[in-house]
Amino acid sequence: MTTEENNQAWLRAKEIFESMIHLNKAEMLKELEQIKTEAYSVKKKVKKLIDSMDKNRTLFNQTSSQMVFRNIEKLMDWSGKTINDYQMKALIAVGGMSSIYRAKRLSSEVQKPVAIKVMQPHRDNDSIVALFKQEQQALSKLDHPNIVSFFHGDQTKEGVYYLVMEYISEARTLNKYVQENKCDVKTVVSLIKQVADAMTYAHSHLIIHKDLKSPNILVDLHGAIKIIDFGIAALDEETHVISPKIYTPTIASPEQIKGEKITSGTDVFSLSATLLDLLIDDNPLPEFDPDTYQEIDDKKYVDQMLSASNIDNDLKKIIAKGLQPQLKDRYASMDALANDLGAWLEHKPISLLNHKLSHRIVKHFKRNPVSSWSVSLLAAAVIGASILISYYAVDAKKQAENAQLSLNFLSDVLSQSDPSAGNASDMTIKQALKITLDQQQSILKRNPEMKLNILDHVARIYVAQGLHSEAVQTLSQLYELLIKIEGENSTKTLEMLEKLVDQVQAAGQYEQAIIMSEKLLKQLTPDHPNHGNIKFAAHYIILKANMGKMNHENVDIESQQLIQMVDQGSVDDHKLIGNAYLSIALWTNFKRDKSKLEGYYQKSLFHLEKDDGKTNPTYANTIKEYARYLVRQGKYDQAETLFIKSIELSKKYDPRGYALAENLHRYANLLALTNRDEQAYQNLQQAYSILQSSENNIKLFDIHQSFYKLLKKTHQFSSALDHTMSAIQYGRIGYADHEIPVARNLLRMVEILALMNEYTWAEKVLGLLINKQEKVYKVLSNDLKFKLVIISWLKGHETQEPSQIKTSALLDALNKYKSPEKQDLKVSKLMGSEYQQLKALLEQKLSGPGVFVCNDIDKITSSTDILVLKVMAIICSNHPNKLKAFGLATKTDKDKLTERQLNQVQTVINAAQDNSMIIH
Amino acid sequence: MEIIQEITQLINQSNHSKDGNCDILFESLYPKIKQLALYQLHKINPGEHISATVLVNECYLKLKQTKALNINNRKHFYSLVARSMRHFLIDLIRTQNSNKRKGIQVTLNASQIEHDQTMEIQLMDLNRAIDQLRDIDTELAEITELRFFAGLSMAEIAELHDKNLSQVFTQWKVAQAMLNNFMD
Repeated sequence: MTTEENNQAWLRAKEIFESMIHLNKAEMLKELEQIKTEAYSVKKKVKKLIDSMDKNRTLFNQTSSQMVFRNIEKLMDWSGKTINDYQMKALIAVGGMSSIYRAKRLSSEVQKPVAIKVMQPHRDNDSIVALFKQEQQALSKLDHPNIVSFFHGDQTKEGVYYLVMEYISEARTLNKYVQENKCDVKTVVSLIKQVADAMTYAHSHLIIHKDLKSPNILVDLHGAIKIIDFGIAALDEETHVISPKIYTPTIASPEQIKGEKITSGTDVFSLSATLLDLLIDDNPLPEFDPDTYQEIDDKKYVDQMLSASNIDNDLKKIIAKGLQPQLKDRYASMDALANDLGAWLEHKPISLLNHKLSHRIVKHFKRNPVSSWSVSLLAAAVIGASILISYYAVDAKKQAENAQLSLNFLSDVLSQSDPSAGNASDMTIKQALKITLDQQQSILKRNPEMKLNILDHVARIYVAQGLHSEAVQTLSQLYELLIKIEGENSTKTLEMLEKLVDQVQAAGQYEQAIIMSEKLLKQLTPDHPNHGNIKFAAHYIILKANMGKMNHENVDIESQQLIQMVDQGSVDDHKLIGNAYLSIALWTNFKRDKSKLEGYYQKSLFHLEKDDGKTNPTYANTIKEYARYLVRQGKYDQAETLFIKSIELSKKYDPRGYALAENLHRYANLLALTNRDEQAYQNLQQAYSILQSSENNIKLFDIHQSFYKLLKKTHQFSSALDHTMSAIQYGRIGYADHEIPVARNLLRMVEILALMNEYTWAEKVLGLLINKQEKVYKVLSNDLKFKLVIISWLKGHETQEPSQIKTSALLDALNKYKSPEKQDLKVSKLMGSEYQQLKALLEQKLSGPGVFVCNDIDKITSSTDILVLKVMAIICSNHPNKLKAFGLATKTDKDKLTERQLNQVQTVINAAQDNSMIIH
Repeated sequence: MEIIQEITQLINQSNHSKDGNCDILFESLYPKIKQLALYQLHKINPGEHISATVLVNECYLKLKQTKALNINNRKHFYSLVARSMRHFLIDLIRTQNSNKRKGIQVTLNASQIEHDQTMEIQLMDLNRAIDQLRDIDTELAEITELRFFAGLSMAEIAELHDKNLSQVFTQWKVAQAMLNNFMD
């Protein structure tokens, strides 16, 4: 059909449509049906016209015509006109919301031009004015050589808002500069690094740019960058509320496109996109339709672009990390991005080598142990908070809002740290929060709602950081406040009470926690829809408190009660249920009750999966604990699969890697068990280098023990001795009132010293344990006696004079093992006949020398049994090679105690004697 | 003022010409009217309100003051001004876009408010659709321009076109249906 014919058809269609215009749509369609004489093309067009009646284009609304003329105003060039004291000289730039002019102050003699940003009139849109004011506010807080200087902002009598800023003469935008100077990759990266450094400064003032693209980054004549246009920048998350839809599509982060919460990570994303944009010919991100947008498309596109480009591999990794769609996968801060760009420029290892988180952390901590990125971010947040607080001194409401903001920021940072790990920066956090709260006291007094909000935030930070007594204090305040506002029995108040009691329990005040929980339970109404979960939580607290008190009976009762509540379906908080099952499982494990244990682990996993599940740290933790259980059950393959999974999971949620270290550590133990010693050692090393910085004494204690076991197994006694002494050192700090774990290591020390033929020293250490510590002695008595016997026998063996007293000590120990109250799993393998054989052997030995060879040694695996058999072997054979076969090496030069070790052994002994570490 | 005289002359000359010649007239008239509109725009200060009606009326009043404009040409005049306004606006958008392309003016702050951007795109689409509509029904296209770019009320359009209000409403409804189709 020609255009002419087509137009004819449209004309005819129009006429028919016009004749039917008084009808409604249904009638029109009916009428059209009945027209037989018209050409199909005409009828089709009429149909189209009828259909389009439903379309409601806003363009045709009453106000649209006015809007159109607003556009004219927007597009106008005001050069030559004056705005208050300034004359516009030339239009430099036009944008969506404002225009920028080079301008001159009329009254001033000084010729220096300024840049004036004039807001285009959007009278119908107050939020634009708010944004403009926000930029003014943001800029006035920043004073940085790489951020455009701001002089002042005002409004004309006609209501035009404008900002007067530094005019950067002969500046080029970043993209143009790179293009004109044909910059190489290194220069581009160094420019972006400057931006990242300047933005790190801005972020520390809680200002997020939100639009870090090339045109917003100027390069002056000297090659220094200036970040401009904080037009949509925001004080932390504020803009989210004001204008969800403002962004530049080519560099916008997923959270901006989806209208989600904006954080400093948004700038990391956009700046990475800008960097990629400068390095490749294509767009750094794909085109998208906001309605159907999916961040996975971004990722696919970026990966494709990166693999197609010839950018250096490490730089690719940096860009890919910066452009991760999920905030948690991205660089945690602008500082981290800046560091890696800097490292890349200086040919230092970047943080992302081998894709191994642990590696990254280790590298970083090694390079700069104090200002690790999470710590420096924290410091930045703290500085930010105090700046924020001092900034607003006049407007009380504003002040309170900003206290809130700084807290949000702080808790954002803190929520990324591992709540299960001890934290070196506890003091900093405490101080920061205290400063914030102290300064806000007067406002908090006047505004209870604000107080509630802020205290809630602070409490959450305390809880997340494991600062239990501080949490208790804050939660108590919150609880009191809620009683006043909501009443004592409102669900909100009761939930707060539950949180409070949980922290009381966590702080170790078990008795108090139980009393409070019981009071809470009495306040609950049966059948209330929200009270089921609270009831469950209260019982769970009682359970935990009883575990803390080691009150076995009550723990069992509470466990049963919790399980019953789940079975009855009166609780639906799956996270809570999952956690409870894990606690029950761990208790059951502690009690060595195998029958139901596996079921508990599985139930915990089941419920946690039902909750947000797989991103929950407890989920990874449960998998790990389940794996440890399977190891004990000898189901190594199954355990290994789970360990690999939990290692993967722990990498995701824990940026500092402490949970990862714990996983690597446990996995290493499995590897050692399955004789992959080399691999085990590597895993331990990796875990250890992460933990070194944690200052978590218990974990360090644990890992030294594992090192000891592995090294002893591989006959590296000297190193094993070092590790067990390290374990003692950490144990003494970590277990102030629980001396048994330390004593165990003293015992290990005895054993190792004996293995190194340092009998004198071994006996000295052993003496600490046997003579002076009744409590420890009782717990360790069996092991102790064996050790004693070993040493005695070894000594005896050396001097060829087995002593009768020592042999009877061994027999005594064996008898004790066989006594009724000790008939547990550990000795079950020492079957009757073997026991009889041993006994007979020893009796024989007592009466005179003899030779006996146990053929079934290989079948016996429990460590205690091995110990018994070792002793037996010593008794049975005085052949040195036989001893070696059982891991009891004879003295070599290599294993001789070094001077350092000797001093250390002496220190351990002195310490034990001096501060009554084990003497009470 | 010279421009005004020129415009008056042009309109009066076209007095005898039929609708067919309107395009020729428009082409010669548009630069003048644009100049007039720009002049009007430049008189106001940043922040003062511009509206279609004000702008068109200012032009009209200027012309009327010369007393040379035949009052019968009012309809003709408004049609031309409305059309000029449309072209004027589209020109401004094009200029801005080409500036962006050429990079003469750096768009420092092109952070788009989605709303504004779609408005510009829609205007360009509407511009094309009106051209298409004009080929089929000149009057409908004119009504659209008067309504949209000159900001006239339905009553004013009815008066200019010597129709009753319901007829104009019907035409506006039909025009919208047509434009909707052309803009897709």
